[in-house]
Amino acid sequence: MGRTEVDFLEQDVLEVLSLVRSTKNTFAPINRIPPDVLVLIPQHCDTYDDLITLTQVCRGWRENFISHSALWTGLNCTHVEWTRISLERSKTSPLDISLKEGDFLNDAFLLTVSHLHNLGALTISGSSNSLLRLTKHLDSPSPLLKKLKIVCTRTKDPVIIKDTMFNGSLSSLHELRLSGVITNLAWKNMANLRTFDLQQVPSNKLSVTQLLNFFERAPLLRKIILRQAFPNSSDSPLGRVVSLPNLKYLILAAQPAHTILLNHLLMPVGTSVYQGFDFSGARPPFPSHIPQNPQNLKNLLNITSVNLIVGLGVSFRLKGPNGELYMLGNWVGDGLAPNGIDKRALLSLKLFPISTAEHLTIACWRSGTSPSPEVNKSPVYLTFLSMKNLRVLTLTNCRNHLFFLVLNPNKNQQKIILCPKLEELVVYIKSEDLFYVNELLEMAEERASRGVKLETVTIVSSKEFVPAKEVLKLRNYASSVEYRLDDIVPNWDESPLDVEDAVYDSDW
Amino acid sequence: MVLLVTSDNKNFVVDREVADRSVFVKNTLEARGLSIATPPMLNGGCFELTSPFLQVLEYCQHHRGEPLPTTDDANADENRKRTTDIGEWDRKFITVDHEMLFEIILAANYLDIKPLLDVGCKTIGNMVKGKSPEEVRKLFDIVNDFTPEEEAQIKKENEWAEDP
Repeated sequence: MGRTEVDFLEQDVLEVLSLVRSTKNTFAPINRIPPDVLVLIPQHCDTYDDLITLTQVCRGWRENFISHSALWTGLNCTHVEWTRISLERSKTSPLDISLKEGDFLNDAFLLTVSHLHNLGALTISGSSNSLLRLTKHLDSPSPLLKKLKIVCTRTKDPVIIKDTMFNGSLSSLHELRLSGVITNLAWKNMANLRTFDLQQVPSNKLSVTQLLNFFERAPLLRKIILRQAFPNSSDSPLGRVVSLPNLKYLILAAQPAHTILLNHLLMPVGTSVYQGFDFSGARPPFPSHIPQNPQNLKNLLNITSVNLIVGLGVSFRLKGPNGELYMLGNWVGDGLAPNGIDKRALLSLKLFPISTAEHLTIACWRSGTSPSPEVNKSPVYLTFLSMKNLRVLTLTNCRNHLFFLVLNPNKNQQKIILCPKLEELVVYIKSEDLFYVNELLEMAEERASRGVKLETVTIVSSKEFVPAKEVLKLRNYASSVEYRLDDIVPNWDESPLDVEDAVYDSDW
Repeated sequence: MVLLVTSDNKNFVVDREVADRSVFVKNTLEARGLSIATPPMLNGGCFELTSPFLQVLEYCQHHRGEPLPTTDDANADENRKRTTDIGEWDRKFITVDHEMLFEIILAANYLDIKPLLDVGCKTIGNMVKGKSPEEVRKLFDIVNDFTPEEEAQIKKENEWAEDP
């Protein structure tokens, strides 16, 4: 047998060995998972390195992962060879291209140019000049484009994007996110747009008419985010109202009065609205932020739950019967006096129609923000006067004195029973001097004697502040009393909508 | 209440809300107007389902009442898939041996419980993270079946990744 024959034989043996090993691999427990499920695994990996690794484990996996074109659609154009391999393996699946300034118009990107008709998502981030240079290459139609995100990294120098990009038509687009980008928002067809996120545009570069025209062309909009991108005044006629029948989330974070835009929008009942603004003036800012259009107040006509959170700022969360949220936040600044919760926050609550609310939670996370002990004309009294349907009151780390006095029919201003439906009181305390156990006992006793006995009283404290005998006494005046030691864990946010996620979108 | 019967003839009576976590069971019940569903035949063969089924049931009970993922929100679907984070309860729940992990994934796939399938796939994704092909083989009891030519081809193909 000559050397060549031995080489052939060796080759045959290696191929047989490879086949035997491939067969052996079919018995590996993980390979009981069908190929169409196995391909879900790399979708949960952080990097393409892991995907490459998975293609090098065995023949079966290599074939499976390489043939699943959707795994290869992500391109950041940092390397020519990698871009070439990805373009080849992605076949006809829509591409997801993400470009940073350094990689604009490099050789790897130029490889993709002939595939741009197959673009599914595009994220570009860079300075004004470089974005302008790049967008010149993006003027042909992209009929599969679902996501477009343009970020101008120098917000002081916003980029002006012409509406000829993608031939002026983005009919397939589901998500449009622009930061530091000025555009006349004149893209012709936004029939499928669900999310519009506009950030960092100077007020004088954006008009209400532009926004309304845009919204009219996007009837499926579900989520609108305007952060530091808000007109200073309305240039639209007072009576112009644009209906957004599919809106679920409206997130506004800007200093100009939100009514400038809100008065022109018609939102369906059930829309969750987050409003964030800074405020340091002397008067509550809400009149300029709550829509005056009565149809938009429908959401607020049936409030079932009110959360008032006082921390570094004041946040209001008003929930409707289906969990929708009306939230105002970021009321910060030196205008918040030590008794701010009393004089400012609670008075502000009166601007909302809270008489339907069944739940009220007040949480204080800043010392010195609890109500001052003045019963007469106290905002606590005025607030409770209108809360005829209140069933559950939760006080977290509040100075409870005034609340207990006001709820005591024998102690309040007009000697009347406030909140006659109140049945559950939950008090979280972390400081003994905030609790006022005697006032609680007197209030519970007086309400019981007037036929409005509390059903449940729950006291949670971080240390043993309440003597056992007082707890025993309380049991005479409430059907159920629970006293437990625990770290204070306020239950002030049970919203089904994760507003924080919506506002601080991880994509940014 | 709903009676679920596994392929090894074990009966489980569960709340409808729990059973409905499985799109397969939900659709079966809705389509046939039945209160009994007999889901578990996998890959055409009889499958020892009681053990993973108990785990799946525990998962469904814990997550009962939570909104089911909808198919109309493509973005949510993509975000759900791409994150590698697993909630604390889910992480403890899925800390099982490999055999059980694979069986839970199979069951979640068959019963169409997408969030559980995601948890299973994320767990495997996290195991793979940062490992070399050889380490992945060891982890999952797989042998290297590439021929030397194939190995050389793979090496050549990925030379770019080793560039400084």
